[in-house]
Amino acid sequence: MRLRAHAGRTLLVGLGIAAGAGVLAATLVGAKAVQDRAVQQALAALQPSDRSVQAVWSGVPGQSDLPLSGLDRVARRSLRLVSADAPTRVIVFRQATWGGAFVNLGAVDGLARWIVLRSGRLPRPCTREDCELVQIGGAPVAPKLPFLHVVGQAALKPGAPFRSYFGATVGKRPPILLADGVRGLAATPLPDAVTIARTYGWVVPLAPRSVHEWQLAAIAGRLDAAENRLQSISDIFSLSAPTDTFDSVRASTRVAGQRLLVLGGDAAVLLLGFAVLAAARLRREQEAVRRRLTWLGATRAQVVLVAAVEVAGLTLVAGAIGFGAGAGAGALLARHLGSPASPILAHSLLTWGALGAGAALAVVTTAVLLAALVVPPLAFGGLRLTIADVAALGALGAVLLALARGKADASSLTAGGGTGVVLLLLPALVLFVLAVAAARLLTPLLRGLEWAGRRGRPSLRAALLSLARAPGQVVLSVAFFVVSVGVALFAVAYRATLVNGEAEQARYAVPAPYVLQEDLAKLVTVQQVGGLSALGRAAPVVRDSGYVTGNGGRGFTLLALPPAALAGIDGWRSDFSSQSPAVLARLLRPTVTPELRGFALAVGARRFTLPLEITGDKLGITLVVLDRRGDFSDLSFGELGPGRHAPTVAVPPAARGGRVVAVRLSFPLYAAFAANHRDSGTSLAVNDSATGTIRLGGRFAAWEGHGGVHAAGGGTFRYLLNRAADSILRPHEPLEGDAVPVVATPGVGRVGDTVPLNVGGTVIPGEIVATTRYVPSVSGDAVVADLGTWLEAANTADPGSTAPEEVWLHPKPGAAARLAQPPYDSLVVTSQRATAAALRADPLARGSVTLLLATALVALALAAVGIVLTVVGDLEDEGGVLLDLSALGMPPAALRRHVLIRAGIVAAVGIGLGVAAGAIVGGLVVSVVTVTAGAADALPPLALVFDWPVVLAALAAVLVVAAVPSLVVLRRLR
Amino acid sequence: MSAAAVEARDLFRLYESSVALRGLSLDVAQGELLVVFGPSGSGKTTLLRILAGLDRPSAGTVTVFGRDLRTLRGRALGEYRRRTLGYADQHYDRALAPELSARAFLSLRLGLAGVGRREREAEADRLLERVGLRDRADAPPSELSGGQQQRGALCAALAHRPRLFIADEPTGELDAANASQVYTLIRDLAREAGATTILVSHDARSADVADRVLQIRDGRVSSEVSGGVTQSVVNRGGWLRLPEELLGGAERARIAGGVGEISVSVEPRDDRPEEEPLPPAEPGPVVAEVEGLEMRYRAVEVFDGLGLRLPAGALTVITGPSGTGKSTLLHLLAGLRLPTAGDVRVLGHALERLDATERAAIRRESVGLVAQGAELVPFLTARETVELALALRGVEGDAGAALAEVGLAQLADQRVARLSSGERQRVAVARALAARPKLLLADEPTARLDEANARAVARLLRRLARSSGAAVAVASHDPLVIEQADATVALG
Repeated sequence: MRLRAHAGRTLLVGLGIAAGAGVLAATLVGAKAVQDRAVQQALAALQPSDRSVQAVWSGVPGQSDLPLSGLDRVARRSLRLVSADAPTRVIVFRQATWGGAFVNLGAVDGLARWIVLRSGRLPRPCTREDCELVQIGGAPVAPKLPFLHVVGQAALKPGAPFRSYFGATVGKRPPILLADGVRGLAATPLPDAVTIARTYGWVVPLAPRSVHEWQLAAIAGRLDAAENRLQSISDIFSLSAPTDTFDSVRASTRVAGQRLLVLGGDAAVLLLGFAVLAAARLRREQEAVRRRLTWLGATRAQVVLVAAVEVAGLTLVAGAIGFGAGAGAGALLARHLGSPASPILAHSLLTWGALGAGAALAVVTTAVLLAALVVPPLAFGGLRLTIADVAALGALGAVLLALARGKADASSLTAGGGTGVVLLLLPALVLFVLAVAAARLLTPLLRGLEWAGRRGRPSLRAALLSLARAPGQVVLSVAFFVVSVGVALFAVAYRATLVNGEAEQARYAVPAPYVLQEDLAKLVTVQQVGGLSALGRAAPVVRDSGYVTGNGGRGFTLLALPPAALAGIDGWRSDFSSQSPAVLARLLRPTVTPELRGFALAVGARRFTLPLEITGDKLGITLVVLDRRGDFSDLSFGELGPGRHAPTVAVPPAARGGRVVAVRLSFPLYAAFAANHRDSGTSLAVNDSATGTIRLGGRFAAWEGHGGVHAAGGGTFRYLLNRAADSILRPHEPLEGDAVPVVATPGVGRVGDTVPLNVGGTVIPGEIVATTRYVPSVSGDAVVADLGTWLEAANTADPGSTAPEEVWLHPKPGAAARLAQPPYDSLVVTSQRATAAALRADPLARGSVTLLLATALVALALAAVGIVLTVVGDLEDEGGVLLDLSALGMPPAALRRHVLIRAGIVAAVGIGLGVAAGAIVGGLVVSVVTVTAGAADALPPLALVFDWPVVLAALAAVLVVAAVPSLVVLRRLR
Repeated sequence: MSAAAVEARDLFRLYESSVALRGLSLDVAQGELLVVFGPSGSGKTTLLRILAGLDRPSAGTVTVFGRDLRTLRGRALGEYRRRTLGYADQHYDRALAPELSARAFLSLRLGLAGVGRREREAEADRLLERVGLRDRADAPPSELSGGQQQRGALCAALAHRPRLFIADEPTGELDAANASQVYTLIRDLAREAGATTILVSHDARSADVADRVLQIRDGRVSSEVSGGVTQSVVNRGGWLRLPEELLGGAERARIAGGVGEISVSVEPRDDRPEEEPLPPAEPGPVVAEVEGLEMRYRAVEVFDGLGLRLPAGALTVITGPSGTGKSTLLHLLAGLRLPTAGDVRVLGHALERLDATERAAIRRESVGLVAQGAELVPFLTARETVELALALRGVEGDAGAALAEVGLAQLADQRVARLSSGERQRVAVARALAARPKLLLADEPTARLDEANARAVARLLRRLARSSGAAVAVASHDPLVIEQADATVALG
């Protein structure tokens, strides 16, 4: 009844609580929907054959005690633990010749569902007597068996979950012949079938929307149970499922969920603050009730109980309404994302955790509101500690403790535990501390303002006096602005940081518009593709892994690149190093142009003859040719014994016009095999060397020998070869003996250190000329060298061992499209823009930035409402003063000005401190919570971004939005 | 009279910057109706708050029916207030719950005292019948007049038949007729309930219903009137207050005599200025007038064709029962409200034709208003209050002198919030006087002042009218003001 009597203010408090509950519910539901969407997207990104659960049995029938029907029963029963869907059965015989046709023969239940007919007709269900087949790929075949008939040509649909059973249908693989019906094919009298290995598969496709985030944990358990059941029957059985995907998406969604605490904590503080601000408006009535009840004989406990019942009722009703509205909004979002609303609601809100959090928040809200109503306003000032000071000191202690315990990265958040949670609650704790600090600062600040304005006009002086001497509710308003503006600025800054971080991560991961690398499945090198410079500015890059010998074997990634590529590297940030990339490139530049010496092969040379004379044991001779594309070719003369020889070798096109940079002498292959054989029969070392002299002529007069080869002058070399030594002849290289200047991460060494860099088994000394914390495209420690210098050093130590395998491409306009065409499509092409787009499209990332935006908007809206409340509150609290001033003849405009000056000062001080609070919180969170928008570890680390134009525009919008109703309210002053 | 109901011994109550009680002692017999007089700030309200358990003495003892109030806490204190005590506040509107009807509030009160549902409703109706509010039983307080609200508040305070009933200026905001009714009602209801009653008041008429009257000055009991005999009270340690009117401004006295007979002799100061008799009023030009005034609040008609003239140099007192529109009339004259119909002219300006800014300009330049309750800016000192008013009006003035005129020179630098309500009232008067307005409007300016201060303020207002030629209009039902009036206008 009392609440109804003050409907307006009650409604306002209720709105604050409802908004809080609504944001909480919407956040929980929205987060669950986003997490579910992330699961769906991760599944959708898998190949169809990987997006399934499969029970597989491979072998010959004699390996099993059970016939196919028995295996079928076991497999179906086991898979039922994972999915209610009936599996698709597959049988595939090992590649074999059936009736004269070398084919992949197999059968699938319900074949028509998985193929696209190209010619002929679909096969009828296979029977023992007549098994019709459809051919997939290859030239037409026709097994000469009376019961096998090929009736059509078809292609497998992309989504066929059993594609992997047949391998690729292109190239030299035999064609596939598929029957409709596993049982039928198994029953056919295929000759010698019992001796042919086959694979039985039971495949349950997983549609992306069939697996939900909340099912992942249970599915993992069921998969284990199913596998156990299968293997208890036959250890040949195996079970496959996209468990890695499940694990990784579970981890990332867990991290994203943990990070929600950042927003949840903010929202809680923000809305509790608003509720307190609004409740303060009910304080006058509560005071009257307290007085009345006290006169009537109520004890303090009874007075508090009455207030508690009212507040609890209001909290419960408003909270329930807000929770419902938030759940509805979340459900709409879930539907928008394509997730089922009801289960999302059930698994986000109707969980013990969510219900517990809601109940806890309700209790805390009730307690805070109650305190706002019945506890006298805190007077900050002097050395006296208030309860808010004590609480703030406690919060500060928690913050410092959390900071001391370390950062919250993705792995710590995945692992859970208290640190992550405490760290993620940082914003709320810090905002609370700053709000109390602002309240403490306010009194001297307002007194200073009052002193400064003591000669101002009466209305200004009255306003300043009132603020300085009776800050009561003003403290609350300022504290609320600190929280609301702080939350808004933090949310805006954190959102900008995450969005900017996505771009930075894309540029860091792909440090040029396009990065082309060798596709290990196709084994076509970038040199073989060639012609990349025609597409734009192409920088060849050597990327390899290595370790520092003698530094605990600390691993690093080597990046050798041309100076221009380093100077213009994308993804570089000024905080990586004290020097710019251009300076680093200059530091790495060698004093002379590095170039492997040798002699040239004629551009048109198709053959090359090397006259030589051997005295001594047989040896293998290979020329190492640096071709014009920058790759190496080996021209082997085979193994030659004693005597004069003029061996000739065919020069492949790539090597024509190249330069012979080394001659590799090798221990004969047969002798090495024999020595190995003898080694295996004894524990003793076997004498296995080849010695002698080789005369190569004047062309090699200045060459040196290494690895058991010694120059005897005039192109004659004495050799001692064995299995262990890498014996080579080569010219002396200009930079030989010098350490390679490198830029390294501090983990590798300090500036001035010379460190042994072991890369690919070759140790090259590197002199650290500068350090950098990060190098784009490298995770962990890095060593950066000049490409030419490194190539010379590496190929001097081990000729032909090192060539660029990666190209950074800045394409000309319009050239990028050609990367999808041959021959470039044989390389792995990574696009910086596509990487950025993928990061942006990540549901978790989108969810995070959307929730931050929503939080910022709610915070700004509440800040605007806070300003209006300040004005309205002033009109009420200062009503007597205003009437008095009006009676003294202060005109309405001056009265309005009086209120506006008060509200303006309060808002300005509050917003100013709020901006500072937001900046502090933003800086703290970004430095401590090191996960990206997509809930992964941030590389490079996130750098706080303040989008000041947006911030200023938002604050201006708040002031405008608040000004309109405030001015309307002020029109009451007539 | 039987054994003591209330025994207070050497009560002290110290606040941060003031002392309210300085060793007050008193006894009240069971069933006695005691009226306590005292100037504003003398400690009357503090005494009542201590007796109500709302405050605790800094030193001294106080027992009510043998219970030491200093030791009462929590439940025991609640029980004391619920069962033993009935309390009527000077702000009767605060006593009633705005959201409850009179009947519902009385029922709640009885319910808290343990009365059953059926009985409590019957008792509520009986009490409302007893105070003439039976037909308004279902009305919320906002629909009751001031007198009706006060009667309802008294019912609520006495409904549970308390053994001790205390009332703090229960008629401060009522007209004479309503006030007398309320005093009689208090006496009758208290007797019916068998309650011991302590009634704090400024109103001399309250003595009519008293068994005994005490005067409090400076936190001590200074004198007692019982059976028509006035006696000074000697406080512990021999403290005796001498009436100021006998001292003649003397600052030293000689005491002689022996046990049983003491004589005090003083030498009055010769330098005290003689108060000049005020000349009779000479009607000046009309400063403000209303004609054909009509005013309605929702369906309630306050004025219907009211006419009034306020001449310069005269004190006009507007009287009338509560709710007859005295305050409204002053607000209309100040231009703070506009009439439903009719003319309000101030210094020749028809206020209803002016906008708010123009009306404010007239107030600033020519009108002083002392509002009822004197809700001054609480965080300003008394001096700053006057100075701010002068600054707003853009006139020169001596704030200190204005405060001295109302006897507040010593408290000039005290914040208004720390002044008693009577002192605040005087600051409001000083502020209005300082600007020497052409039209001074004062709404119940003596409502919470003791007799001496009330008389001084009333004379001050009259002197202002004479000396400055201002038209002074005072809404009041205080006889001390009315006796100073050059003219009276009765409303209602």
